[in-house]
Amino acid sequence: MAFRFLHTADWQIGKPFGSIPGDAGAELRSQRIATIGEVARLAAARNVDAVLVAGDAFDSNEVQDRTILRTLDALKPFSGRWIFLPGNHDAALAHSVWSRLRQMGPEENIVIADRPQLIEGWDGRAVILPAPLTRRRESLDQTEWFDTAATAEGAIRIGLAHGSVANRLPGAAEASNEIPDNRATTAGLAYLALGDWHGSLQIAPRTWYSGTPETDRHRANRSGFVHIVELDGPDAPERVEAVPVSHYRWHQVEAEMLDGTCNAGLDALAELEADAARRVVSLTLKGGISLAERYQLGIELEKWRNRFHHLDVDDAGLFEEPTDDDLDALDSSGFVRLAVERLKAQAANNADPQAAAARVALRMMYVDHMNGGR
Amino acid sequence: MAGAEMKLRRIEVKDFRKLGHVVIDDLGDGLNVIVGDNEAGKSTLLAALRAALFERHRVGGAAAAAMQPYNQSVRPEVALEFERDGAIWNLRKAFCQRQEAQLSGNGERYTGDAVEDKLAEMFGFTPSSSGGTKPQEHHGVFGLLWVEQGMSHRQLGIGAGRNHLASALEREIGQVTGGERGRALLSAAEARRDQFWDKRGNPRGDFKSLAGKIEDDRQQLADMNRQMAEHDERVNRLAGIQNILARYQRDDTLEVLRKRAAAAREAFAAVSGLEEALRAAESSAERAKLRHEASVARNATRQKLIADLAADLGASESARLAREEASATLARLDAVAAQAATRLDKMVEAERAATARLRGMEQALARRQAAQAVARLTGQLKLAEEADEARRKALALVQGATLTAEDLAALEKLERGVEQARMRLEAASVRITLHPSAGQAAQVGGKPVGAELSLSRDTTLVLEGFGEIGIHPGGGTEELARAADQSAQALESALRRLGLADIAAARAALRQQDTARAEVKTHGATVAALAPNGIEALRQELVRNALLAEGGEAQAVEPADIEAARRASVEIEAQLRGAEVELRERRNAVEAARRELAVLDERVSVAETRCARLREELASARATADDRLLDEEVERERQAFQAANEARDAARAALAGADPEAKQIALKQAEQSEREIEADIRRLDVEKREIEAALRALGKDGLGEQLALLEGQITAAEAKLKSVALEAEAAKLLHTTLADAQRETKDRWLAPVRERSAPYLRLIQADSDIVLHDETFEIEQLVRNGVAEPFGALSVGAREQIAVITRIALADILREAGQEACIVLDDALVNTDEARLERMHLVLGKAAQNQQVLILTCRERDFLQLGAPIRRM
Repeated sequence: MAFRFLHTADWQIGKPFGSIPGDAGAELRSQRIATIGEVARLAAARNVDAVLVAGDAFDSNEVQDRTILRTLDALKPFSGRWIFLPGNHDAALAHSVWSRLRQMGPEENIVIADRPQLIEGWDGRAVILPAPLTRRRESLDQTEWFDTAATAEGAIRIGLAHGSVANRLPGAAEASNEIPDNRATTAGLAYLALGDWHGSLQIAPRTWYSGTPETDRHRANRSGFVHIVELDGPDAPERVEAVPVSHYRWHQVEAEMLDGTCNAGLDALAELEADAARRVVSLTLKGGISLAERYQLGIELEKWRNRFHHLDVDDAGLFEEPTDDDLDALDSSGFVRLAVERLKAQAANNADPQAAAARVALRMMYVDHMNGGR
Repeated sequence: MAGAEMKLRRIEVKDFRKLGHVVIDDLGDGLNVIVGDNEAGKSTLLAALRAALFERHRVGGAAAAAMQPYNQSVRPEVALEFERDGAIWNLRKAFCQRQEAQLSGNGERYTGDAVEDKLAEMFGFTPSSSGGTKPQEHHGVFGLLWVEQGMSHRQLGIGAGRNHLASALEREIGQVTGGERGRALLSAAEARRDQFWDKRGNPRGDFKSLAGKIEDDRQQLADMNRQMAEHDERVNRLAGIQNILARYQRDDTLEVLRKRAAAAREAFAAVSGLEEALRAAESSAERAKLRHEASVARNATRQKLIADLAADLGASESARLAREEASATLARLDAVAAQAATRLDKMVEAERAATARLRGMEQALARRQAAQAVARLTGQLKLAEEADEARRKALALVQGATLTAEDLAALEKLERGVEQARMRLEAASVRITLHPSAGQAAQVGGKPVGAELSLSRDTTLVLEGFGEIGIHPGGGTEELARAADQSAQALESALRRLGLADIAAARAALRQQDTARAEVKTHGATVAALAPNGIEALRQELVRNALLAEGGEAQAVEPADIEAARRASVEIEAQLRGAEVELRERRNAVEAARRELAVLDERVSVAETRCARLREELASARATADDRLLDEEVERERQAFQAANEARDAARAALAGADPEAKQIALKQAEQSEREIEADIRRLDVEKREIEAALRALGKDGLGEQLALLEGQITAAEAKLKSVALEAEAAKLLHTTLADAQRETKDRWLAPVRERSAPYLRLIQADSDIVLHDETFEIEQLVRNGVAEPFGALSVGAREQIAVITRIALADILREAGQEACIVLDDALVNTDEARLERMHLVLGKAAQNQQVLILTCRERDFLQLGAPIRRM
């Protein structure tokens, strides 16, 4: 009588990563589909009864046909039932990615749960109660009908919904698409499979977010997993295994240089050296360093930029503090010294509108100097 | 490097080039002029000086050969005595053969190569390692201050002196330029700036295109957002359509409407039968009405015919009666007119008689008046004829006269001339008064004379008792006497011509003529009064009256009788006119009566004709249908009409009771609803398909993906632009800061040169400034009155002046830094004109206040005024 399924959500296929230029961005885009292939293989390997996708399988209702077709191809390794719930990104509007998908003639095992109707099968072992979003933002709770939906005796009731859980996820909670935190209890669900939050998380009793299988942002939220869920009966406790599937790992690193050197920043990166090509890193640098260190940092960051899948450096908080050695290296006398002194004074004066430009100018001069003036 | 002053005191040269043996000694502290023409080897002296100080005594090759006189092999020698820091030094060098070097002074003594080392140390130059030396490389400051002939207008050629100069300036301002590295940084900064900004300070290259790309992307994003909004709009519309269609389907709307329409159609068909019946009843009522009206009209026509005939018979009778009456009236009027004609004839006769009587009486009266006129006119004619006769006589007299008032005036003038001539003669004549003794007389020409004599011509007076006395009046009496005679003759002849005895006769004749003229006028007036129309007219009037008077017997007729007769005649005439009028009126009346009779005749005839026709018509009509038949027909049709009307009202009431309008509206509504909903479903279906097709087409392109991609790209590009903009700003700032710093440093660096040269410059050129290159110290520009000119663009004269002044200024700086060296100028001012040369002498004089200056020249004359000791080679 047990029922085993794979719970996933928030694939957001078609997400473009436009702010990551070039091949790196393109690869992030295509990886999202590739990871779905992994999920399909995992489902087949674990021999699950079904895969429940709790919304936002697509980033938008207006993704390319090509994106939809490639996604359908990626599903093929698992021939069991795929149950897709329209979420806020791919809401079941009059015309949606789902209506388009239907017209493409998908395989029999692809189920689009775009109506609040019971989905049955599996010899009556389980029944799925979907709460599809037919608008991007629903102001009414779409799961309400779960409470009164009658199902066969002994069938395991599994809820499928997309949205935020009331009072549970501060910041993520929006006024719309809100789900009560006791819906699993009131509706007698053995498991409420949710989507929207991108990390793997149990948010309430029998109520779980699986998160996105392929991490898509710098956020420490335990993303990159799918849930293999086993339910032994309608009232048996859920057994949830979070399986990592994400190809890329996203890191948000902050380093403050306090000793005048760039070591802190470089050390932080060095920790990510293993499997560097799979890492998408955002580095925020703060503090003050000498021109010589700044020059060195530039060279090192360039190396890391080439090793990581993508490195994004925010050095707005990093200040050049020219030391006497820097200045001596530039020139101990003459007009260059005079210019350096002036730029230094400007850079140090926060009231000066050109303070930032002066800092960069100092760095440039140092680079020119190191390059032999070109 | 030891700072020290240096002054040349003595130069001795032997066998150096063309110089055999030359000694120049006692060189003073300030200006020294050494004169020698070019042939004398003036420039060779400078070469010798250089050789002594800077060439190694062992130098060979070309440098050594250059010291030899042409085509000779001798031993050139140079000996110098110079003062340095108050100590006297002696230097002696011999070249080429038995080379030798000695230096002694300040208690020290050097020979051989040590001499050269010591010299290099003393003067801070770099000895040539081998071969000859070059002033700019090896002579230190002397390369700068010793100027060869023909080189003075060129650039300074500072060369090795630069370091001395730089250190001198450094000592002064404590700073050096950024050097090679600084310039490299500046040019790198410039390259950076140019990478971001164009010449006008506008963004260029990637910086510019990045901003442009963002703008383009934003534009595209806006387009896509618009498309997206349209897309969403369509999706919403599609949802709306789907809702409506679903509702129709759920409610089975179309079928419900179809049934309702069928029911309405049935109800409406029932009403239609009633309507048809009403229309038939209305039609038959209309027909009955027309038939009834036709029968009434026929009856009316018959009655009118009968009435017309009766009326016409009456009219015919009355016309005949009127005619008879008119005929009687005419006969009566004819009789009355005949009586009036008779009366008129009588009146004509009486009028004729009265007129004849009046005429007779008037003729008698006229004859009597004529007889009276004959008597009066006869007297009157006689008087007139007499007056006329008298007038004619006087007129003849007037017309016969020949003397005129002018003639008389001429005669009187001549008379006055005679008198004047006589009086002149008398005045000129000799008056002699004779007082004879008792009874004795005097004679002239035998004629006695009175007591008084007036003589105008030679006269012989015979005095009794005495004898003769000859008297001769003098002075022109002769002439006067002749004039008196001529005047008297002229008067005489005029009188003769007029036939007059004397002037008195002339005056009488003229008076007689005036009297005759007055008579002509008087008698003429008399005739005019008696016969105003002339005498002939008077005579004819008389004849006429005479004839009239003789016409018949005279009859005594009084004017009163005539008046009575005339009144009687007028009265009779008036009566006659009255009779004529009466007769005319009577006849008019007769005529009118006759015309009326004719009219009445015509009327009688017409009336009779009409009656005959009507009678015939009536008879014919009655033959067809008699009057009673017509009456019956009218009654029958009236009843039929009434019945039809009643039937129609009944049909109308039946229809109104069935409420056909409501039925019709209900049917129309039901049918329209059915049509509308059908059309709506069809329309919605079509629209739904269209929207779905359009959305499918859009979906292929993945608008949402593109949109999100573009948004991400814009965000990234904006961040990039921000950082590039900062870099651009920094590049600009870096370049500006470096360039400003360089300019300021350079200004400070060269300030001492400017300051030192200023006092000298002022002597030749007010308000000017020399600008040197900060590294090479070569002269870059001369700024005159704020206008910068490149050194090379100046005239040769100006160049040599500026170069000499600059050298002096640099010498000042060097001296102040303890690097004193004398200045040697070999004909350095040959291109300077005389006026400027004088000014340059002031410059040299000023320089010589602090500095030893040797001037080598071949133009002694130019330097005589300089006030310096002059030595000749």
